[in-house]
Amino acid sequence: MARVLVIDDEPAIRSLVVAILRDAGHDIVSAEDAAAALEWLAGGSVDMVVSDVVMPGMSGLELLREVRTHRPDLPVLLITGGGTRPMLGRADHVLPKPFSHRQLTAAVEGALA
Amino acid sequence: MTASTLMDHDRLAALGELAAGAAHDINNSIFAILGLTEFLLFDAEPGTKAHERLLLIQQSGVEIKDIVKTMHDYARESAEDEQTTFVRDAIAEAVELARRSGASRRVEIIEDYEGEPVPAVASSSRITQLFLSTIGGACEAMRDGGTIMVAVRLEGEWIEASLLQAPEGATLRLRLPVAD
Repeated sequence: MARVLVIDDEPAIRSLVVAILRDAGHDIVSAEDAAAALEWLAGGSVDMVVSDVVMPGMSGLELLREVRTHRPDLPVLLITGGGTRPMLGRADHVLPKPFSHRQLTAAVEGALA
Repeated sequence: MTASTLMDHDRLAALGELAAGAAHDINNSIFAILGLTEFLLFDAEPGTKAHERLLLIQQSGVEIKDIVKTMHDYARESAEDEQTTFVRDAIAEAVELARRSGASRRVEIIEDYEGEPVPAVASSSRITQLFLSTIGGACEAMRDGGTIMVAVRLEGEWIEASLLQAPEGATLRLRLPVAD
């Protein structure tokens, strides 16, 4: 079991991702935007980040850059409803929406491995 | 590049951005529908009406996902310049879009692709656009039904792509250089 920080500005999507990962046995904390996530990361301990890409304010890619600066070993999985091309060569783990429960849990386990 | 071509390019780029934005929003909504349906399917007894209906929702969601992917791929490619491309895939995409649009409901589209796909030097989006608009025009002209045959053949150093409409007989023929 890992502690995973889930970030998505859409409440319905965020709660769905949280529910899927909780069902898979992970301990979940969540944030509605990248700024709140960075605050959380500064004070709390997590094993992994799962973040949306297109969000108001700081995007998922900008969040990824911040995480790499301060926590280079922390795995980050980007989930996106848009194309995955902008993520090529920048993110190690990307999962395009829509995805199944199994695809999400497999992606999280793969990133944690 | 002429002013008219520039306007077409700008319009395509704007259309591409619009389609990409729509695809993003639809993918989010479809993820919510499919994700929640998967939870409900887990709870529903297989063989019950509720389970069957949930499977139908899931199937519809997957179909929408495929449509959005086709739309997104098309929009993305519209912004790209000439490149090495598989003509067969570009034409197959046009046929798929035409079938999904419903415009070809009374028309049978036959695809005849010879041999293995060979790359050509061409713009994938322009080929798709050209075949899509020609198929659309042919379907409009054949309201009582008919047949459209699209074919791709390798002729020496050239790839020949064609469209034949029956019974009207309008044709489209492209000769594109094989990529190195």
